Amino acid sequence: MHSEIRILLAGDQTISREGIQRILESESDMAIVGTVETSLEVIPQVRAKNPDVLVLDLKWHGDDEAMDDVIAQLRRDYPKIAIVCLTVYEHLIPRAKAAGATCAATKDISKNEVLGLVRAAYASVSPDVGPGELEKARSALEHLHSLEKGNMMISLP
Amino acid sequence: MGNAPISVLLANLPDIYLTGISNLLLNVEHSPFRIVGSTSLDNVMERVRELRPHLLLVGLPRKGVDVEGMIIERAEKAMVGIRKQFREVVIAVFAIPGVEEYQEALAITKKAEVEDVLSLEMGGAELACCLRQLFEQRTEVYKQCLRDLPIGDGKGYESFAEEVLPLLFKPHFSRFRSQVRRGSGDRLDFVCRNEGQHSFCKTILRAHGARYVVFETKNEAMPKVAHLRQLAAFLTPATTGRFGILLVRQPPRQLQTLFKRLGDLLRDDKKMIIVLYDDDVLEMLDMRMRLLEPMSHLEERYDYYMMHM
Repeated sequence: MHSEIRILLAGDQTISREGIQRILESESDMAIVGTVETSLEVIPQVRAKNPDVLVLDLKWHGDDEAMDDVIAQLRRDYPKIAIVCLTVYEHLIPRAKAAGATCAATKDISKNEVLGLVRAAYASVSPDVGPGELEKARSALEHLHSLEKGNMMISLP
Repeated sequence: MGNAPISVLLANLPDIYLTGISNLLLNVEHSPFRIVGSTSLDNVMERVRELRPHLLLVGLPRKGVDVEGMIIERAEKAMVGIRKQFREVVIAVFAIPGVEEYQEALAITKKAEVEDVLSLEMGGAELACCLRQLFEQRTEVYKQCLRDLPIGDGKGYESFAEEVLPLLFKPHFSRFRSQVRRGSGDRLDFVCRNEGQHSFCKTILRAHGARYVVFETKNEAMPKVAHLRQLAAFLTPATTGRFGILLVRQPPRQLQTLFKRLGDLLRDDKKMIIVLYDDDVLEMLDMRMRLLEPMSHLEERYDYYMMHM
């Protein structure tokens, strides 16, 4: 795989944004290139930072639909960026996938699942990743998810 | 900012929130918080018993995870149990505002006497401010409780001390045990271990071999010779060490008489007893609220006794 996955992090909730940032930046193969706290800044920041992966919250300030158009536009204008959606609300996961997100999950997934999700999403769009790498990343994540207890919802790339 | 932190135990929080809350609390400007651990619901009672945190923050599951309501039931049971056994621990639950879980969290607050429902949408400074306020409110409650406690209510005074002593002296004194029976038939009100880190802890360890500290509570207006004699008899070099603290409500009219009696009783055995009154406890609670170290007050009282005995 590529030496470092460049990640842009976007969400309006400080606690979860801080948690995701700390989880991702503790990994040697990941680098946070920026954080976005307002929904209007998501696309301009993607343009400015050109990340490999955008980790995106789905509900912003109570609005379920806040990211639908953003995801669709990003998918259209930046097809090489993987979009990983994390949300508290399960019902938003199919919606994010339909809009064009690479993968999506609820925020109660484990730290290792967060990392697996980002790596698998990156593998699905990166030209640097060999043909078998995506399958490997997906299998690893599926295995990990099957080991976790509870009803966390996860939608793979 | 003081040097006595507010200890926080986190329970039942998913990794993202656990990491986020921990980092926000530790990195807030002049952070008064110390995260002492994180735990699942299964072990929360044991962890509270072991760590005696000032604040316990519990995450409630969302409906998608807790399809049969089992987790919320366990969370509620755990919090009710902790509230019964460890009244000094402030409990707050995290929930997402505007959804069903939040309403459920509000219902639990009543059953388990949980102090507050916190929002997972809070910012770091707001969260820190809320937690600080919860801690201060609890300390204020204890101050009022002592002022309202009538002289003569021995059980009430013991219960008060059981909750307040860990709040004041942990982590320097740890493993508080109440009503400790010894082979001799003596029953000590409270015994705790001297961890030996604070300068005062080192002093009493060196001067009195105090690996443990014995507290006796007497809800009486003034200390009596019989109280001092009883506590002095409990202090033995082979077991507790030779340092004890007597809690009574008010100082005697003649302090010099107290010092003389203490001197006569203790001088030859390298034993030492400090007597603390309501004013001392209120002062220490006030210090704790301002995140200052109540152990410094104890040290001051010790020095004063040493000079006057």
